[in-house]
Amino acid sequence: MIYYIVVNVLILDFQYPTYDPETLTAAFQALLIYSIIMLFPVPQTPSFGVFDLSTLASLHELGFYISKQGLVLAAETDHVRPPLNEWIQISCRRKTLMALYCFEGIYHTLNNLPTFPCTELGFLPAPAGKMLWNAKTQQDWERAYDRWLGHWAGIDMFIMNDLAVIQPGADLNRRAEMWLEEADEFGMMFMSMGK
Amino acid sequence: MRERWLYPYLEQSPPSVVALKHSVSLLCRVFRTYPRMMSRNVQLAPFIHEAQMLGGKVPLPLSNCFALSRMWNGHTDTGGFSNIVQTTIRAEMDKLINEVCQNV
Repeated sequence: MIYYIVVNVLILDFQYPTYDPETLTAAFQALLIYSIIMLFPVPQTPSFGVFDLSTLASLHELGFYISKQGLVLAAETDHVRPPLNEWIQISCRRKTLMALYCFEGIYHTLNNLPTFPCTELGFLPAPAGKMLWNAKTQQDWERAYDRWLGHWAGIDMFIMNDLAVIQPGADLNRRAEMWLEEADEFGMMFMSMGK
Repeated sequence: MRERWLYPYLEQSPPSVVALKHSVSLLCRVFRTYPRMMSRNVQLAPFIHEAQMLGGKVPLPLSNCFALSRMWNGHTDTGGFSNIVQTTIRAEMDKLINEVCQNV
């Protein structure tokens, strides 16, 4: 029995490469792209169920593990500038997770299943603005981030839950408007999904 | 989060919400463009950052994703989602899921 376990452990060690957090995020992103292909395999043609429920379960499992690595940086909570590479990693994690929940909504709707609110993600900062996400160099990003910090000084971070509670009508509160002003097309998509 | 995929099938799930039809249509339209973006390599899906692609050290799952998206796009242009594409993508998905499970 022990021999069996040892052999199995050796085989597993041999078979599976070790993933650093960056590769884990990349795997999550790639899986989501593949899932979209599976759900919509042929362009300009309605979905025809090559995507299966077990993959959705795996995606959520993976999302769960990714979230355990952290979804908000201490620097973000403290309203100071984090290191760029950490910010990129955490932003990718958050955006991919948000995209997964959208994907789940699409899958459920196409299969005539009920859809569920994304309350677990409510605490996440809403997608970062265009200037920050698209900054080409570290210097550009740092400058943009410092400007952003100044703009939002003393104001609570705009989070996903703030998006969810926006009321129907043309008017937004100040924070929502500040966020929208900076949003990229990903953020705009969330704004367009509300009431 | 881990149980979310079960929500539609369980009685004790949180209350469901009515998704707005136009919102889901918009999501479908937008999400469908992401794999093609990958295949054309001109811009990235909005949840992938340009810096992940720099310095010749693109993480393997993403470089494979570029290659497979390109293969998929090539085949859809010439008559549909062929078996070879579907099997290859499925195999890569299974591989990723297995590898990830061993790492968490």
